[in-house]
Amino acid sequence: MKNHSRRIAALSMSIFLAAGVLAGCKAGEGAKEPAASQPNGSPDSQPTTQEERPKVTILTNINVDTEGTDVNDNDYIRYIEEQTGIDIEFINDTSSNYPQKLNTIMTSNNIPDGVMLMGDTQRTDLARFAEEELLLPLDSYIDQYPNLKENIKKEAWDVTRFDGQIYGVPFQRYDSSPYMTFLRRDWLEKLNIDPEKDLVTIEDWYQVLKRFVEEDPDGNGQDDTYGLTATTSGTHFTNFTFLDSFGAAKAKYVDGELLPNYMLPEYKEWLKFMHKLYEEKILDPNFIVDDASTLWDKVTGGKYGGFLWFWGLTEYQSKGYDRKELVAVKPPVHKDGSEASYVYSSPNRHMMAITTACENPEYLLKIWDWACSQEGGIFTFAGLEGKDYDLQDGKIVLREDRKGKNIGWRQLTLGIQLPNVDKEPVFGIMEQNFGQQGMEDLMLSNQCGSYNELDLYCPVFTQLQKYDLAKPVQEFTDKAITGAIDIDAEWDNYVAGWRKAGGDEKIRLSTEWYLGSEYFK
Amino acid sequence: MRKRKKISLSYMGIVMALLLFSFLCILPFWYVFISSISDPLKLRTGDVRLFPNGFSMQSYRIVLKERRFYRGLLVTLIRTVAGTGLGLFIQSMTAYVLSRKSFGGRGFFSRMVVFTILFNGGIIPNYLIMQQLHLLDTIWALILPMVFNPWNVMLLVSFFAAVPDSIEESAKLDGANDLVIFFRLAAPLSKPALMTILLYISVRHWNELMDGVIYINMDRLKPLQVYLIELIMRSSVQNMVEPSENFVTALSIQTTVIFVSCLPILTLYPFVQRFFVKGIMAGGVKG
Amino acid sequence: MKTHLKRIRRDKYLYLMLLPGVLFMLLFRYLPMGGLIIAFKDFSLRKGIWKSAWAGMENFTFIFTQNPDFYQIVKNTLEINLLKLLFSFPMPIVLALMINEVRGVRLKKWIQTSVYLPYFVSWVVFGGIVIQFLSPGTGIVNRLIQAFGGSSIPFLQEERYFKGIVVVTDIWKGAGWGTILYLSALTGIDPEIYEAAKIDGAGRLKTIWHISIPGISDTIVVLLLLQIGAMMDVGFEQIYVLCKPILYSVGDVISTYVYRVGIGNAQFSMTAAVGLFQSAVGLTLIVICNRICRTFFDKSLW
Repeated sequence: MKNHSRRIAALSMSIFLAAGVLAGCKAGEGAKEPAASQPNGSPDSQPTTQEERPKVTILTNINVDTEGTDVNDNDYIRYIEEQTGIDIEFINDTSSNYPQKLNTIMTSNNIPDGVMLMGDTQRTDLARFAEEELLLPLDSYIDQYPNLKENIKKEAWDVTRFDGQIYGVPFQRYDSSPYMTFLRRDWLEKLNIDPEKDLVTIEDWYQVLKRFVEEDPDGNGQDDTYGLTATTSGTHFTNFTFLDSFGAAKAKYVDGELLPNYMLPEYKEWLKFMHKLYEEKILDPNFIVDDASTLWDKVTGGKYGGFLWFWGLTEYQSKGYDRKELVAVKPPVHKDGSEASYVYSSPNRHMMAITTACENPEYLLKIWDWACSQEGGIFTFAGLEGKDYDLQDGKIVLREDRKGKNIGWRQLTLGIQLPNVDKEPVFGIMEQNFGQQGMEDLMLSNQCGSYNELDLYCPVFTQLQKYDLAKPVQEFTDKAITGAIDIDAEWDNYVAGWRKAGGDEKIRLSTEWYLGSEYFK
Repeated sequence: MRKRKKISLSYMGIVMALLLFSFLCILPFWYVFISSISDPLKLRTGDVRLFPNGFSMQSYRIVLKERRFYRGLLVTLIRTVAGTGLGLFIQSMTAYVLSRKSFGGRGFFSRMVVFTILFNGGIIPNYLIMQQLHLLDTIWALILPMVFNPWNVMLLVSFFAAVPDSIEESAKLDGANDLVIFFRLAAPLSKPALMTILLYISVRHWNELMDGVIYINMDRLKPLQVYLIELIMRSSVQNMVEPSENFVTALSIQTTVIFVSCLPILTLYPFVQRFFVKGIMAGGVKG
Repeated sequence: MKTHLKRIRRDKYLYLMLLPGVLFMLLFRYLPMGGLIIAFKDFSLRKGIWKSAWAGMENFTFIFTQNPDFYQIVKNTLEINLLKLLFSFPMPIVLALMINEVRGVRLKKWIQTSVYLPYFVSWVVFGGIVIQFLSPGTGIVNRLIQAFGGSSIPFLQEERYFKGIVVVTDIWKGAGWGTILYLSALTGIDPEIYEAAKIDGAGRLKTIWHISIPGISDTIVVLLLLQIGAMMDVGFEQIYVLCKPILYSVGDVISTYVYRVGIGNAQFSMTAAVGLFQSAVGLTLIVICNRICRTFFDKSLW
């Protein structure tokens, strides 16, 4: 019997526990309460000034090595807070679930002051939130912030527009196209190929790549070399070295319609060329089935002549290879002989928007304006004096053991808002980080990178979001290149199918915009 | 007894098949292990290697160096222990009631439970409810929503149904009520089942990622899985700004993370396993 | 009415035991279900669930009539799940019965522990291993094929192999973990029954058929019915890792579609509508099969 009552006691305990939990947990409420504002600040690290500082919360996804420090508690954030006089709190979610986090937080009544919009969905996110009046239009503010106004390019601002108004502060890239084609220097030398002279037209490229396959450039006497390797993640990472050379990388106005690049006859031509490369084993025959992570093994394994990747070549160098073993090259010229380019999606890495829940947008703008100042620029690129660099005769010299440390965090937090990488002092700092060859490649990327302008400046139509428009393109592209389908026979079906599944609406809306825009001549 | 018996052909066949399958099952795990300790520079994914290539604890150092790892581990331990205790207690009681054929509300409540397996509201309503209850940014956000698991309840019902009615009847004649019968008789008799569900609940808690992402903003309350996924994402994020050092391949980090994060929960299994090796039902009845 | 009250009084302790579970169920399972009404709304983040404008059946008609791929996606989902039901579902049972036959305690433990290991390897990495094994260039499977004189096959590029690969890898990764439940059910069988059968001279197969399987049949039926209820839902991660765009026509399933459009494009109302459709089909199937099981095997979920 004793036992019996003990059980009942345990049972009622559990019910009380549950009830108590539900009733009594108000203490931990929301991020905006001052109690929760310094999750990690130890009591002694609270100088008196901090209490007077205004405070902002920003939802971010900044996923870089912070050398083990908390994003809200380190030397760099303290420096920014001192310089701007504003107390910043990041809600930093860097899991792969940022879109869900962003959406749930925007539905709640706990919306932060600023939100980071990033990745493939940044423009549609901006449009969705702006349309729902969850974001603040910034046009009227910008004039008051001279650094923002001066250092952020017009095209960068334009990408953040919805319905004509600016809704975000763009965080600009300092490269025009992160992508470059790299070829093996030793193979080029062995086959006596001068990229400047021998790699001009598409046909030149084809001949050179064919020689990579046929003339045993690795000299092992076996027929085991390929021209180019690639990875597949749909259209994005398939090797697009030749895409613009065929005129197939940018949206075009054809017969009264603004067509996306993948609907153009030029795209069909590009697919046929790629299929030819695949058939002749110039293009890596396993690019579909191999895991993307094997790319670097292929690149370093010495059987592939070239590949397309970010100019930074981070992974390559991390494997202990010197970027001098590779030659960065321009894409082949257009058919009419004009220069082609590597076409990238946006001049911005991401953007920061201010929500309508924010009471004092000027605090956030002040931080970002500071980031665009000379001082802010040196901070993002070089770090802190006495910690990351020293001044020698007025010149910034990075400390050897601090090169590259924390730079990712600073740049992603504040943006590369001093985009003049070709000018001092930024050039000098960058050169210390990336070396001479790296800077040459960067300059080349700036020279031959461009954007799909009509696609970029065309407003986002939120009503198109319900369509699955990318899928048919990815599927058709991969099937066409590998020869799983006959391009000539299936092209019309592909176009018709895509149009029927929402594509017509996209074309109609973007054509309407185009005809009324400044781009229509 | 074993000596007396001859090993038959069918027995040999069974053992061989099982050994083959367990070899296949160890293979990926072994691969994860050797990848995690191989030199990240030499971690070539094209080869099928059966032995580590080079030796490096670099990715372990990266995973284990941050304070956030230990804080996350603590949060995860707390949620797993509390969540498993509370969950097992409530789920088993619910299941026992639903397994009683004599219980009047059986059909209604069972349907109610099955219904929640099929239908769920999605992330946003759940978030709003947690907000209404003021549970966001508290450890309870990681525990309470998982206390009731309809799937486990239905499995437990099928186990409790196996407890013979005769036991219940004779206990009732002795004057015991349902609570006593459950705690003194039914639960001890169903120990293997309860241990299985215990394993299920704790593994779910240990591996759960999404609630930590959505309900928790504070760094110090983020469970281990959130920290680990962030590490994985970090190493695979293609970053335009970070120069090459400290860069370890995504695979190295991934495999290390798998190994580190499942070792603690793996140690739970042997305890649970004790209950499977030998049946205890007979003993319970006799005693 | 009186008998009703009498019953409740008689079962008062049972109700008491049921109470906490039901409370948690109402709070964390039923309350959020209210959010499903966004399937019938044009969901707006700012207005929230209740104040968003009604859309009637628009979200459903869009899915069923505007998306030409939807039927293919449903078909793929059903086909993959049927194959899994036929092949993946019985595997843990077979394995558990086999493990139950093993006599050496050490050997038994060792086998048990090893078969459940793959469960802990995430699909991202497990999928990576599968992709490697099947690689036409360096994969071990193709090396074996070549060793026996065949020519190498790009398995993950050709449509006809995809569903088989999904089922086989599903078994490889999950069958061992699935055995735990059956093994614990097997321990519930009275050893005396086995002894009696042995004395009667029953062979191994006969013992398994007449003693072991009936002993775990309750568990089998529950799992089978629950699996049938999830008929419209194929686990996302496995397909996401293994299905490249080139295989969309055989491998694109509801969960990957929802991931791309529902989550990727933040179409909450559509996601809810698809989810509701999946659940409704699951409910129908589970009700029908539950009735069948009750009629023919005298076993059921409720």
